[in-house]
Amino acid sequence: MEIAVILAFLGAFLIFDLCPGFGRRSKAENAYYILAMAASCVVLLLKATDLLSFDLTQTLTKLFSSFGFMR
Amino acid sequence: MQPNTTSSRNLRSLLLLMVLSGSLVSGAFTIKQDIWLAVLLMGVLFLPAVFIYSRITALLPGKGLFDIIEALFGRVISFVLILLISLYALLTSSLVLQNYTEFTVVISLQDTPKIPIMIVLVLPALYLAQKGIRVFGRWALIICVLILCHFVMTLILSANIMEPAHILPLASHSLIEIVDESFALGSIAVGETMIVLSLFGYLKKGESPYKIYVPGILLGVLLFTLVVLRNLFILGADLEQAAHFSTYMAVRIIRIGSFLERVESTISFIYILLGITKLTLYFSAASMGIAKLLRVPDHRRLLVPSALIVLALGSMVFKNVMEMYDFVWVSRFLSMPFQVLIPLIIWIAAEIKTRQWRKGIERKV
Repeated sequence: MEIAVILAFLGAFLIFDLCPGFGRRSKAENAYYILAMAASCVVLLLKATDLLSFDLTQTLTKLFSSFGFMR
Repeated sequence: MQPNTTSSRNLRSLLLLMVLSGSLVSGAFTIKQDIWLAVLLMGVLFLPAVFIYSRITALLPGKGLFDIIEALFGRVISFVLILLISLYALLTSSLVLQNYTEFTVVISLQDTPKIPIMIVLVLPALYLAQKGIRVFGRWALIICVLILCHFVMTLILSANIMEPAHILPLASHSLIEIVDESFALGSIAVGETMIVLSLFGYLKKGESPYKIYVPGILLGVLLFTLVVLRNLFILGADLEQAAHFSTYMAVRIIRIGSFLERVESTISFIYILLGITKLTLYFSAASMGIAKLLRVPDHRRLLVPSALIVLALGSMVFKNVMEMYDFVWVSRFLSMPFQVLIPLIIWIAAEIKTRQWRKGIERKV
């Protein structure tokens, strides 16, 4: 179900926003859009399937506490 | 067509909401009955930073944060600074998104997967940001009035269950402990308002930034203190600390006979509105920064990709509410360069450059 929601969400932006406006946008805009779409698709799907266990804040918390930057 | 500008009143309301949204993480603090002192102190500790923010916009009126950076620094430095601030805005919005998702999961939707909740939170914020600063400013004012009315209502309804003795013994924690917590809370509640600077380019002409920033923050801190005091009076120090979301817990106790129950649902409603407001601000700021870097004339064209990045980042930050509270102690060190160091550099550069420009004009005259 979660995967279906993600695909529907990203698919809606792909069909109704990215593709119709492709010609109107500059190259940099399109590149940023495609990059963001690809990154969010990969990360969200990997998270939904529990294949990605990377936790950014936990990594930062460990890093900072190793330098004594915790309370 | 109406101009895309906002009034000082709307920006003041937005600042007040930003400060109040910090109350979501007040469960991370450990100084029990002295937390209200930490909240009050946060206003004093961060006042110099608030004056720096105001001074920056006062020196270069009619310009937003990114325009100011472009006007003051060379191409390379401004590129680096804008990139850093945009990344900070993206990261903070992902943290905000996860904060409010955790709140929703803890209070009501325990078994619902987080990603659909995050999507549901992102969509209204995206819509609001797309509508422009004029609509967003009005939204902030309306939400501010709504929150004030709600606060007064809960205060009146809970008058019979309040116990002022709950805040005793007063100042039982050391000053260092109180300052430490105040610093951590302030970096979230007050420091994060730095990003509001990016909206000052849309402010109507002739409005003083000091009259926006200082009252907005101080009113926010005052209201935040009153919220914390209300929670303490109702719950007591131990229960207040044990509760993950003390505001929600405090209001939950209110029950007027059998005709007014479950007032806590209004708190979740209020928090979600606060979350949407904060997300909208950060989406807009991140898009403005990236639009400057990519030379895109309208930042709203970059809102959707920015929201997608926030969604991806948001799914990679804390797994539960305890990790969220742990991160509060780290985030102050992480955000300090963006809330103090970079504004300080911009302020010094603005003072020097504006004097040079003034001298140049005088010489020409």
